[in-house]
Amino acid sequence: MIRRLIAILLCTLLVMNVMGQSDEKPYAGTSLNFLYLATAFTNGLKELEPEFEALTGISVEFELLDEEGSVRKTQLELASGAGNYDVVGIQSGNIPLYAENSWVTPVENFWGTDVSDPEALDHDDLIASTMAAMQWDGVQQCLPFFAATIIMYYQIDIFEAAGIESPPTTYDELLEIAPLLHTEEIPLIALRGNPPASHGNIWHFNSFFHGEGAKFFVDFPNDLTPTVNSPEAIRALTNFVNLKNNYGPEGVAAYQYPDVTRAMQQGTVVMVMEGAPLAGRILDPEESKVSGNLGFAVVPGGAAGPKPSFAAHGICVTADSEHQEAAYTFVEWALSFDTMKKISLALPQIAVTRDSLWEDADFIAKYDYDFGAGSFLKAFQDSLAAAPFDYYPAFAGWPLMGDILGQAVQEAEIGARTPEDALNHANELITQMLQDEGYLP
Amino acid sequence: MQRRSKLTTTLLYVFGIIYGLAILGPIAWILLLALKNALDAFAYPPLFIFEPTLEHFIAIFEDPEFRLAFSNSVIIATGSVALAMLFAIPATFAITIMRGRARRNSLLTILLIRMVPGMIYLLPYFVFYSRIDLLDTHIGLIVIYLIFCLPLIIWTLVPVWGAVPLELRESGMIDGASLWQILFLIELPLVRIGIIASGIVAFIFAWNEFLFALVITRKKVVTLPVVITRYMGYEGYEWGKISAAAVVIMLPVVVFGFLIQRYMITGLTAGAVKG
Repeated sequence: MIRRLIAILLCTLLVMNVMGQSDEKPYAGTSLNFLYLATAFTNGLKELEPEFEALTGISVEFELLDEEGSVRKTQLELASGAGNYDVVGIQSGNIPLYAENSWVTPVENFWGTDVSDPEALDHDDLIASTMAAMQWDGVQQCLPFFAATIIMYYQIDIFEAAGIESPPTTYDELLEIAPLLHTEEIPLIALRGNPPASHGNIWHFNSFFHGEGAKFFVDFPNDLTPTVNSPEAIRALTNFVNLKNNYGPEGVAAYQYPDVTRAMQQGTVVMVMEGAPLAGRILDPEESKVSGNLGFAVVPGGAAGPKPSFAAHGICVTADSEHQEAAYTFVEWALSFDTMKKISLALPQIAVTRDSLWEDADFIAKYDYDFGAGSFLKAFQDSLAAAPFDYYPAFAGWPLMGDILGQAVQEAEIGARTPEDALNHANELITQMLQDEGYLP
Repeated sequence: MQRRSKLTTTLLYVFGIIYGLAILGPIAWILLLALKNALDAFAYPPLFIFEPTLEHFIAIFEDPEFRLAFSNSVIIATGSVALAMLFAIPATFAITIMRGRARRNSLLTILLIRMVPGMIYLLPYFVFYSRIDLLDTHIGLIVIYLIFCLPLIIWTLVPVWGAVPLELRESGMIDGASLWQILFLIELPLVRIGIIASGIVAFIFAWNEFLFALVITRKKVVTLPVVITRYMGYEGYEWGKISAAAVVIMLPVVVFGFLIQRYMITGLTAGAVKG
């Protein structure tokens, strides 16, 4: 009898234990597949995966590629509905494409359900502009992990030697001091050129474009008649071409961001306007000859003030995933304060998307570079505040439109057309494209 | 035979040197990059005398994903060539027996399969493989590479096989040998150099292929060209590792090529002057 009682007791304990476990780890044993490009953040997630698995019983396989490869593969996967990946990364410019095609499950769908923990997510703490960049039609599609903008990096000693006390705040000022700073040995500025797409010349040119107060359309999203050849746009392109052609290093028309970063690291240019998240690399003493001699500032502006580039990267649950809840559990964990902080302290992940992390003492201690010409974090934060979240117009036709505009910028740079001709031609091509795609009658 | 003028000879040498530099320059550059530390890698002006380091080679071989990719590339490239040979040898033999329109149409069809851009095959294969669970498998990639390797081998072998005297086949038939016996016992030993040469060409294709490997693989079967993209991070490229990996990828092809270049020349030109 006693034996039987003990056996029943043990069985009850066992069942309770299993039930308890399944309550705590309802998706234990699930295996997720994650696809995106290799960034400090995604590499960090990969390193922390064992912690997530210990916490939830969910394992995650990471496939991290270069930018082009990851975009190509993600879009092919999602368009085919193969359901091979549960979580994918996204750049804000692609939100309309993914949302219109229902390739992702809006994260909002999980809010208020058992799978979501509002305290852990604390979405009010995520930078508002990055959250807005991950929305489509007022619905939160994905969650942002990366807030990209550009700042001006400049060599302090060269500015001092030229008697310039502070960095320029307008394009006019920049062009005025350009002859004082520019030499054949160390040209003034490197800006991205080729490829003429979202991560190429357009990434920089749009800053000039917005800075002069130019608009892409008559009244977005109500009237998509393009206006990329407005006087403001022509002034923006004229300044852009003038800077690159007269004050840039040889071959700058073909520069990609690794070239711009390397030019600054090697000190072969006086200044660059480049991604603030690249500071970790630009200032890495093992790779950089100018670490300790750089100043940081918000990029100059035109008639409309400074408008630094802006893009957010986020992660989403794919619509075809068979593990929706487990995938969302992972997304929420990845975006939590603790995970983001661990990654930012372990790896060069500066572009964090949590307001509270920007005020965190450990974060500030690690990233507040200041070499005597002002704080890096302040320049970064001021740039994020000035950056328009609709830097790229949020509609599915933007990738095609951006390509056309990028071609026009390149044509002007290499002298194939004047800035005015190039933009007039681009306006015609964009009009045609918008008609073909059904955006214009 | 008319002797070349001095000017022609000089011009030919100049052209040869420029051409050689154009071909070998980028390879030398990659090799130097792989041996430099990060600070020296892009120093301006470029450094040709520097303290070499093996840190990038050590780093990639310490990376389990790179080691896995290396073995995957060996398996897939070798498997593709072996499987392609299995079909290509009897197919080429059959084509050499054919005459007239049948032969021409067969060769043309095979050529057309090879000429179709890879992107055309990509989506159907991707969707099909996804349904039958062949994504991220060795055999999946090997079967796809068959589309490209098979025509490559057949078109390389046809002229080689054409150089084999027809009389040998006829003698075999008179002596009562079956077609299989003629193939394996008489003709195959005679075209083995061509088989090696075409095998090398197909191996190099499979070894270097990127697009299908990118899309069809996941984690288990990733190949070397794909694994390199993992060093092309968003915040910056790891040029040292990329260069070291590129050298490792090039190495077997270069060594292989040098070791058997004699066979390649003999094999690929066999039959070229047959009347």
